[in-house]
Amino acid sequence: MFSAIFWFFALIVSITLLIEKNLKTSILYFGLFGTITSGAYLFMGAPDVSFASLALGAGFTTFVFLIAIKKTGMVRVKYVPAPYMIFGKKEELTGFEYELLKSFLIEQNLEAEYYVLDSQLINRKQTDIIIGGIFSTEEMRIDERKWLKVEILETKIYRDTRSREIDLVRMKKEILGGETPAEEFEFIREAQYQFLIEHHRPELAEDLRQYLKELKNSGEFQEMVRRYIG
Amino acid sequence: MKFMSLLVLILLLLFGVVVFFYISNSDFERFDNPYLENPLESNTSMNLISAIYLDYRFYDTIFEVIVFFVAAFGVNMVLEKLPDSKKTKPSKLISINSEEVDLRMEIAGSFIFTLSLIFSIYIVFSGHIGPGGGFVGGVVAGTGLLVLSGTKDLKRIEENLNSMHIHKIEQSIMFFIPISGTIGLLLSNAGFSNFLPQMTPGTFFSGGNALLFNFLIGFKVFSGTWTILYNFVRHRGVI
Repeated sequence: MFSAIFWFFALIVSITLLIEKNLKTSILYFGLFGTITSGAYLFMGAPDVSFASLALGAGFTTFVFLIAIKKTGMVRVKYVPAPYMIFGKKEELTGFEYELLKSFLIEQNLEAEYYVLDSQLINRKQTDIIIGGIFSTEEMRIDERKWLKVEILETKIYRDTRSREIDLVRMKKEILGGETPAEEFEFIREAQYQFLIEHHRPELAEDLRQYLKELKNSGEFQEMVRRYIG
Repeated sequence: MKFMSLLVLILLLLFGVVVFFYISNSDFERFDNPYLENPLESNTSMNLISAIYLDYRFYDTIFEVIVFFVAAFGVNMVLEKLPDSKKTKPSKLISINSEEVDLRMEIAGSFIFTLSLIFSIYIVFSGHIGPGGGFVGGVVAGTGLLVLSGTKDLKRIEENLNSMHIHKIEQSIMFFIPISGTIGLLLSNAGFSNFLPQMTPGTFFSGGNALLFNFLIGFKVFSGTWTILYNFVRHRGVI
């Protein structure tokens, strides 16, 4: 009778495991599954099998999976250099989006490699995240369905005299740099800066949205905007 | 896509219901087994599973041990040639980004390792009296060592294990299998038969070969587990 209760919970946990999108949580559910089945075996009168299930299912396998997840723990970031967002030399990048992504990746225990986005065709197998003041994906030659968009910050799009669309931070850079006077820009529409995340990593997008929500609630996000963009 | 996941869900539920009814309706005592008639006459292990595992069906156990040996050996051989994972400091498993391992984590890791080692020794040496055995004990100790390696310097643990010549002991266990078979063949007519005295059931020294083999298999599984997991940690993210 007791074993039936355990099996019922094991069934629920296994379904949860199947639905769960976050890999780390999924692994923890797997450990829970091993523990529950071990209890079931114990009440079915097989303590030897129960021990083995506990040691392997809850301990060993969980660890192997946690180590395996470190392979996906490497994130390759391609960036478009953008003023105030991500700029600087290769080793000493800085900017708002860079710092935001960095703190997010540290919280997720992930490590990142940064490359400048230079080629026309983006190799999806070698890219996980694209950042760098991206407000429109129309000009980029990417497949819209293969990339998840996470909205970071609202912005305004302007048009200059050469009918070229330009966003807020790049416009600010040009005005402050004295390249173009401020009167030449004409406001068109509002838009959002985005991070593009490869569609095979949906848990990354989900975690990033969650992280942004927490950051905005704690007021740290506004602080970062003030510090890096002004 | 949604249809597919719904289908999988329904299939899983059906499978669960079938398993549930099979388990609740099956009668586990209906099998006639010659081992169950009077087990303590031929083998003095209180744990009948140990008696079957380490005496009546020892051939099966040998090949299990060989499979495990080959797996650990293969992982070691393939991964040895790969470079170390450079991106992370090898001592950090759980919190790879923090520079210093938290003191609380270090203490908890040592504590868990000590507990699991004691528990594993108990399981291994009481495998013929109660539930347990060499395999489970080895896995428990190996996982405990891995928890320790997550909080302490991985290289230092490896040096300590190497100074104990753990790999030589591990490989020499494989030589013991044919030796034990020959001893059994010399002392009685069948290979791999029980050659140690059987003693009184329920005491520590009972069950014939069970105590010895439990210890050997436990040690083998412990070092094999450590070898596999250590190689995975050391070369993670390289392939």
